Amino acid sequence: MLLLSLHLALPLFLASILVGALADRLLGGPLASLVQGPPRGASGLVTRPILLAIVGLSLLLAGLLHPLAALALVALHAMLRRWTRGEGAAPAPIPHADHDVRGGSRLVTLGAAVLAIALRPDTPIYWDEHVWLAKARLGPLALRAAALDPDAPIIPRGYPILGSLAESLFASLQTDLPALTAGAAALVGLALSLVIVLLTPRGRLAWSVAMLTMPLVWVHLRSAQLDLVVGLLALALLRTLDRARTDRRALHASLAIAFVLAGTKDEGLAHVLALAAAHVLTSSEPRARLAEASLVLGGALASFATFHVLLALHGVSNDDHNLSLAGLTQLGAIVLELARAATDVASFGFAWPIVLGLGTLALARRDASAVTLLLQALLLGAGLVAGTEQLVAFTLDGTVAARLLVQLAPIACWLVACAIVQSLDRGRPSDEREIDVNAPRL
Amino acid sequence: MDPDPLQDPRCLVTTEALVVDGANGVCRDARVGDASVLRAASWIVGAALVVAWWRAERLPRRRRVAVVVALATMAALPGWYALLAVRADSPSHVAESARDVHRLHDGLRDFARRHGCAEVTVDACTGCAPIARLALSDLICATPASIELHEDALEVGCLEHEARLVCGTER
Repeated sequence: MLLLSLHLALPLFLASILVGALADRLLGGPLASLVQGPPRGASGLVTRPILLAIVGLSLLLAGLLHPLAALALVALHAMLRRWTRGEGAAPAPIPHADHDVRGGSRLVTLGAAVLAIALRPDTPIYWDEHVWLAKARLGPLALRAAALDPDAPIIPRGYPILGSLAESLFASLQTDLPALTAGAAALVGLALSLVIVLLTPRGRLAWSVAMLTMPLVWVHLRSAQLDLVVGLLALALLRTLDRARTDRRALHASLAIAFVLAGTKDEGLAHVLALAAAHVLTSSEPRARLAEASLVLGGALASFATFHVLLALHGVSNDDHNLSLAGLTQLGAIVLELARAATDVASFGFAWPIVLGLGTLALARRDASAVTLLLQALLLGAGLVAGTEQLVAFTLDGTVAARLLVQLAPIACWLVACAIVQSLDRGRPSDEREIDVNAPRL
Repeated sequence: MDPDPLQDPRCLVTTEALVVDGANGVCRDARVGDASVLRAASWIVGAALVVAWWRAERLPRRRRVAVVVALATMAALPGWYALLAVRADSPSHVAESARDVHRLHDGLRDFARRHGCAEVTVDACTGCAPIARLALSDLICATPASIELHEDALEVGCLEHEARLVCGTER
């Protein structure tokens, strides 16, 4: 059982909180804008460390990736600090009424999530778990060196390394299986915790139920696969961008999340692009939102571009993810394979037809999560078509589509959760609604 | 002849099938499922029915929501049944699967460490490939010792023959 090894994650978790707290202080305390309820109440005490941890972790990982990545991330935070100076001295209330200022449901959901993860076996089982942990086992510095060495026996070559770097650090640099598995579980736990504290109370409950109607998500929750981590970070980014519509200081958290998301898997950049575009497209003030979206995209490029430039400078290529449009000739087969995965009842139940149905209705209202989901799906699909023969072969062999759907699952379930909460709230006065569909678009 | 465990149409009941496909689907739909137009169309029809139901204004909202939630819950039951009772990572089997993986991993790693490093020279066990990659990932040397991974390596374990590690049954 993994429970016994999870303490290994504490040093990095505490270090991340410390670095995050220092950054938050230097930046004038922007993370308070994301704490729903009194900062010193239970809600604040639960939410704040998790927000500090993701900001701190992004800075630590940036430093490990390359000094220029760290410099770029710090510069973006500084730019945002100048931009928002004087804004939001008193945090505006969260746009969606939050009745859970005591944080009770957060604690319960967090506890259940941690327990589900902690009770997994202390051994990796699924294929990609071994792949990511094989990289984590090298240790941060050796992994970085090997990733940039065209002759190093690192498989697969050219893939982003932030996920494995974080796993290694969360494992306190230990290399035995329980420690590595604990490191991976801690990364999943941090991403899930981040989502839990950023959702509204009844939305959180509906989202949790929706996620449980996709049994394959449970498998990924208790694994070192990075697909669910990517999906959870995408949802966290959606929530902080939503908050940034009324308080731009929330973008500090968005920057950190975008950095980690784009550096964990190559698909991460597609998710950030989709989120940034939806942030602009669903606003009645697209020009104002464009600057915010560009900033977040800058955070993603600080990790994605830095790593890919380093790869190019060292002559390392990612043979799986190069652009070659090999999927064009197999377009029909790829579409059918994606539909097959979405209708795999054992893996996803009836969840994807529900997402498609409710998503279509939400799309008509220019709902941010629906637009985001559509753009995510289009970009990931385009990635498959534009990819290499190897990627197309993987896809048609059945090893890609379900994982991409797991990446989309958190935002898809949030879309369903919002539809349910909005539907149930429709008879209530607007100030009692948790997610007000009639609120003015910002 | 024994059936190939990776082609088992049931839900990933062997450790090897679990390693290879455990995260690609709850069962084996990714391998044996039918990627057809009919199936894609069923998705669209399902979505259209959801839309029609959700917009049925003459019914109370709570009932509409409850039916969708109930439908989603019931449709998830086969998957949950597979996860909780059938797959090799179900609560009653997961310890055994984890032990298989752990044993092979530790056997490969201990052997490689004692010889400086090792490389796989016979690779007849699909599910062993990622385990070997993890076990040997940080061990590099000039003259690697030899590891043979035969079909049943995960179940049988490994035996050392001088500078050669044979996992599974040699045929």
